[in-house]
Amino acid sequence: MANLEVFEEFMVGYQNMVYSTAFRILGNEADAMDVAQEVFLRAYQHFEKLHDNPRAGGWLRRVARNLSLNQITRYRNRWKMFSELESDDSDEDFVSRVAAESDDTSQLDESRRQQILEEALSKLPDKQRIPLTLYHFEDMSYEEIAKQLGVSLGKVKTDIHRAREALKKTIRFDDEGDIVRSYFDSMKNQP
Amino acid sequence: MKEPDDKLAASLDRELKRLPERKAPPMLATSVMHLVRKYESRPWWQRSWFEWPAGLRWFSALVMLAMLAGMGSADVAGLQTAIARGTATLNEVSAMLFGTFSPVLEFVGSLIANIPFFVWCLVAVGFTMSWIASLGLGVVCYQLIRTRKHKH
Repeated sequence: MANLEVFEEFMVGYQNMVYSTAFRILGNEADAMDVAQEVFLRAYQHFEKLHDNPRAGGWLRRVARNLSLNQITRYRNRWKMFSELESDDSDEDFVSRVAAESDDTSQLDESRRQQILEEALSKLPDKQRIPLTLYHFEDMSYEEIAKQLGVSLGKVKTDIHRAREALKKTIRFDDEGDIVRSYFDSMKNQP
Repeated sequence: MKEPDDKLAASLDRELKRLPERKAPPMLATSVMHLVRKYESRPWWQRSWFEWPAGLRWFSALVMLAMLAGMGSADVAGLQTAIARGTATLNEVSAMLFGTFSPVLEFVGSLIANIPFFVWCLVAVGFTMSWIASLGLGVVCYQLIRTRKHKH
């Protein structure tokens, strides 16, 4: 039983990271919970090796990513025939929706801006959110993403570009593509 | 590893990486520990052979040895000839492979062989019908979920 207590402590230390990784790929809480549970069950099965291992975090993150991608692939194969009936029009709807919701982000503080960005990320369509997440959070290249998702390199680049354009509307960038941070900082410093 | 390809990508990369981790739902730890306890108390037949009770390990080892002995007495030459002729039936192959256990295997083989053709047809029709019904149900559920999502 002592082993269970040590494992629980270990799990609590990594649960946010594992859950975040799964949530950002899968885009919903229920699936992210399922994946996180599976990750930690596997971690328990390999706990002798993971306990006190400085690479445990990397191992957990990799397993969370792979299981999430497996879940997406399985889901996509199952529903492919239905989802292919949907058109790309929803992309445009999403962009205008996000833009309308977050028109005043320049006047928000850091945590609120992050919350808006996180929400906007989770509202992206799967086909944009997944490659964007793999690129920016998991540090995968376009080629690796294309191979992993079984789609063309061109599609990956297009989807990531569209996702960035959508997110761009939730946070303010200047003409150089830099975030207008000084304005936010000055807002934060005001009493 | 890769480098973001333009300023927007680089800015977004920085901004996304600065996002804090999402807080895991409180029930995650509880459900994981429940799963772990369930895993710990799983019955012997779901564990690896090395974790089986000692008596069962001995028994299974003896059964395995008996099977190996049975395979040792296999009529390999006869089996090769029958396969080459293309006339080997399930009963023949099992009898030649597991000489010791041939009566049991022959009995199972004859049971399968005696199932009438129309029963196989009924099974196939039943399987196909249930598959189509599941697919139809899936379409209805999918459309309902989609409609509900769009409403929200």
